[in-house]
Amino acid sequence: MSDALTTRARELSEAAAAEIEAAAGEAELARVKSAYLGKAGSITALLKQIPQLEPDQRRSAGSAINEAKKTVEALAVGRRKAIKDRALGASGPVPVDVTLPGRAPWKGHEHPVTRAWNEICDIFSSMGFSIFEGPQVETDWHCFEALNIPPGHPAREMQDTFYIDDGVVLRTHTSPVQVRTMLRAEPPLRMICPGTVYRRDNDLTHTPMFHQVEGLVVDDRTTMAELKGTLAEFARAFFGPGTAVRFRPSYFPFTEPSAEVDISCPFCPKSKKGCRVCKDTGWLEVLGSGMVDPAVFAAIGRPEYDPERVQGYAFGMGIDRLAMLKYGVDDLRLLFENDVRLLEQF
Amino acid sequence: MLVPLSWLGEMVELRGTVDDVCALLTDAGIETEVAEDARPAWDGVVTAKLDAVERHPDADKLTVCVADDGAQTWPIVCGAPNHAAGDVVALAKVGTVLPGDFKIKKSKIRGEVSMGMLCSERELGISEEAEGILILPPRTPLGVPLADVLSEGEVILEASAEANRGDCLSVLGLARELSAVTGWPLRGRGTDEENGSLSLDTLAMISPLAGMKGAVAGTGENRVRVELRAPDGCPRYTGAVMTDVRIGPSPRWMQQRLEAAGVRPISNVVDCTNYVMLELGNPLHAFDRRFLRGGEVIIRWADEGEHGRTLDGADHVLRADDLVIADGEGVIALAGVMGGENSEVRDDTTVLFLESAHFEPRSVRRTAHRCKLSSESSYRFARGVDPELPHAALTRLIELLEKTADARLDGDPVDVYPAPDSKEPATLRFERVRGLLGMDIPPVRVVRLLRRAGLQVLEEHADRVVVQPPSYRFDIEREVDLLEEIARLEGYGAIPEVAPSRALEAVPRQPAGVDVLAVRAALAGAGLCEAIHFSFIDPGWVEALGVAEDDPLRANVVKVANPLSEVGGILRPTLLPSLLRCVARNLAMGADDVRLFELRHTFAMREGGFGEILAGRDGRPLDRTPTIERLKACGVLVGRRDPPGWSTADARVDLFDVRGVVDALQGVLGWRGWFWQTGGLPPFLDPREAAVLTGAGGRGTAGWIGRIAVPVLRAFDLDEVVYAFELDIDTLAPKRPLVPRFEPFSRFPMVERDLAFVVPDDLPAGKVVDAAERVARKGMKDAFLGVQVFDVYRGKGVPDGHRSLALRFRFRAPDRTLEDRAVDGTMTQVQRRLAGQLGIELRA
Repeated sequence: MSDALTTRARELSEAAAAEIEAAAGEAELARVKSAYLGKAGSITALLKQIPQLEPDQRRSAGSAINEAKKTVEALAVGRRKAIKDRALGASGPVPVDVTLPGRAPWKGHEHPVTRAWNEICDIFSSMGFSIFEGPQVETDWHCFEALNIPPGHPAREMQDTFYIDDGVVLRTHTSPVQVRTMLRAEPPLRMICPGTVYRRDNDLTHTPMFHQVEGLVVDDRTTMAELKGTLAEFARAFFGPGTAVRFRPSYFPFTEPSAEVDISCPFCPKSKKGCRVCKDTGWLEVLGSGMVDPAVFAAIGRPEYDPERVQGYAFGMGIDRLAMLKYGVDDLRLLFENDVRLLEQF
Repeated sequence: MLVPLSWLGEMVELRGTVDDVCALLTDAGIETEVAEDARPAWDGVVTAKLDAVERHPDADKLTVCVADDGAQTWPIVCGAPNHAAGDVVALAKVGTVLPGDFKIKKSKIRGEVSMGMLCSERELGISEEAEGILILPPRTPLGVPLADVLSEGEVILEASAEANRGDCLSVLGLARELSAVTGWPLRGRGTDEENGSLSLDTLAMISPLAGMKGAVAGTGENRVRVELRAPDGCPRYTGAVMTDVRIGPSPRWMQQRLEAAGVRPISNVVDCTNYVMLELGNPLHAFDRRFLRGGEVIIRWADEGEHGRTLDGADHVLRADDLVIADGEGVIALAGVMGGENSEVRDDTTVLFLESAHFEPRSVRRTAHRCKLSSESSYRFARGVDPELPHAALTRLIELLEKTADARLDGDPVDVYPAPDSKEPATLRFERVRGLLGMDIPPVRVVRLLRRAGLQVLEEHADRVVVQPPSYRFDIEREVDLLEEIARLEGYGAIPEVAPSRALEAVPRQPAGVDVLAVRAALAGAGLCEAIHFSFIDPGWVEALGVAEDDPLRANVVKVANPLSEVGGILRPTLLPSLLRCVARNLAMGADDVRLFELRHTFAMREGGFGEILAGRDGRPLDRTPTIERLKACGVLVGRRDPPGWSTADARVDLFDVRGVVDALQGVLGWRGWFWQTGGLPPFLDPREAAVLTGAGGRGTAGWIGRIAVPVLRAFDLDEVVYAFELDIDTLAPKRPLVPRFEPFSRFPMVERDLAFVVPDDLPAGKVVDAAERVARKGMKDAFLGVQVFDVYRGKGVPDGHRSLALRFRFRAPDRTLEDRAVDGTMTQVQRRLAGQLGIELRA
């Protein structure tokens, strides 16, 4: 009986060795291994017979069967490694042509206006400006009167307005957000308000909807020189370190003194001042700014904004224009046509 | 405003070039550029003296000259007969290009070298004179550009003053401004008698007859009684009667100047009024005395509904706040805006009544705007005209009419000026120059700059100065106005660039509220391109979605009162139509796959409209947002699921591609308690593939997802299947920013079990998964990780009307290795409960 078991163990181990060697994949190998060593495996079955042997025979038969089991296990391990090695080293479609393009998912893109919007906000945010937003449909009071632009003021002609109703307008600038902020928050303030604005204008260089970032600083000491310093800092961050800033006198009802701000044209060749973008002037007009007119503080009507105690500056820039300049989009209207051939470039 | 440089030069000494004038005015805030430069192209033509003139050795008619340009001498061969040694001539040097593209080259004429040409008037383009060369006056400086010594051709400047600088809308105003900026002296007296140039002294010549409320101009039957009934709209009215007028063309010099300034010459009388307006800035009007019924001129507010016919032939119905000039019977002019047809000067006019008045900006603006009339006159009055100017302007007009229309003044001019203008003095504290402008300008210089701007210094103290602004500077009243003037005259270029003096505070990058950056990143990350469309759309686009009239999308729509066209008639209640149109346009342009999103606001009227908000409190509107503005994310997918390529499958997008985008948004915003339901779908979706996101507990809906219905595709010219979604981000976004919180994970092994059920088609997978999840969680508590559908199969072995749903369960206990027995027990429970509750069995 014991001899028979021993012989059987050897036979099984040899058969297993052949099958393991022949197993082509991991699954087949697992099946073969299980057929010999699994719960219902043939070598496992031999082990179950050991208790039925005479005690003196158990030892030799047991050791033979265990030997067979170990051999099979070792072969299986070796075979698995060989199979795996082959799989790991296997190549893709042969021969591989590495010059074929890769497999990429769809790529999404931010709109160029968004991109410029975020970049402007990032720069001012890093200079300590908080960001506020407000409604696009505004009351005439928030949009004009609080900003020293009474009805009939010539400045209203500068900003031809879409009306929703008597006294309700599509905001022509984001300044009403500054008004709303001052009505709620105490000075000192250092804020910007990006947003969508509307003017009743539609030609080569104007779209009836566009985007602005306006800024406001209110405290007891900020000067026009600081306004210039801040805008110069912004211009250098946005257009490059060599950018210079030029102030020219201007008029806005809500600032006094007011300044039009030009930046040195970043597109002119190094050798000469003047190019197509700046129409050979060497300068680009990009911003309006000035010291907040005391009448604006007075309209807020809060003691915290007593014009004798607070001062500060405000500025405003067109995001769309800055985007066009920075990314070289030469037609404003392209920005709102949303042709994917434009969108995919950003 | 167009200004001929020669006219400007009559009023201020131009001590710089044209470019200097433009740059100086522009730097001072009056953008000025050359609109027209009629000066001949004489670059390279200089004055030179002929040191020697000798006969050409080889040609009878030629001379060999030596021309001296002050720096150098040049040999020139010349064929002209009229020159001699000692003459000063125009020398075109080698390289010059003369009018007519005639280039001067170095040449050899019959053996003699010639380094240029002596020019005739024809060669210079001045006249047809070609008989000899141009001989200049003997003492002409040598070596200077010819353009500087021959005043040929006019330069016309275009200057645009800001809205608060009405005082710069005249030649006089610009001259005054240029003088203030540069210190160049104003001219006291004109230099050219022939064209009747202005003597600035006339401005101060006539003192107003103050305090009169009515006055009579003219004598006898030409008498005109002026009655000022509306001094609030017309603080000052001056007038005069002139007789013996001969209507005809104005003199050539006047016509040339008017044309250069962009004003069409009409007749001597009209031209004179325009000329004085351009010169001094006060608009003027001439009436035919014959048509002043009752011999009266009354300045009054119109009667409500009164008619007025302006000389452009238009009839206007007036309101009680329109200021008019009337005679005994009715309106003869809209004050400061336009004269009336009934009192216009005609060819046979012989007696004039001249008006030179000061009208209040507000009433002129109002009437001009309401009657849609814009004239040179209303443009100026709307921006403010010097109240001290009418009398001087009238005097100047009388003088010009005497010269150009043989007219004679009849009786005395009248000046009705009941309450002469009195501007308050303004005080400037010197420390504010540094305090507000951040510039260091010594007080002495501050005072000097103010004086140069025409401000009169009333008091000067150590710490402050009190000044009287001139009557024409309405923009100067307060201390800040003086500060601006100082900064402007010192030059904005002198303002230093300084870092903020207040300490920097750290601020969050994101405004309070929705994390828009994260939402946009998720959408772009899902492979969609961001579009930005106009907020206003055609109301027809919403109708094309098949939305009923009483649907909130249409019933609460926000209308634009004055759209540019019908296309901009409403503010978008949904972003979808803009994107559908965009898809159609892109497909038409040849795109195959269009994947777009838009992240913008939609608009809806509040219940009750604007009444309460506008009624407001404390004299101003409420701060509440006037309409309901909500941030929406809308997306559309058209075309292939994967980018086309040699190794990707050619599958088309389906509902689960948009669903995947929405799930990505949920990952960012983390909303809970919102469920996809198939009831109450919007009409533009195909009901077989659509769902709305519905809130638990009656929170309404916050978005939809689905395939666009075919009629809507057709309405938007779409020939492709479109999957889309729109979500109300304001509703779904968390109230506070989501900060990830780490959850500890188990170190023990995971157990997986798969079960496949045969499920009838009308039983949604979501229900099966929910039920399975409940049972598994109950059985395994915190060791249950989740269950997922990993396969949906139809076909062999599954009866018709059914599909096989394969679920994969995952278990892992936090504190121990799971026993197979426990897991198997739970799986048996799942199997039994699903059979009991849903009537579904395991797949055989």
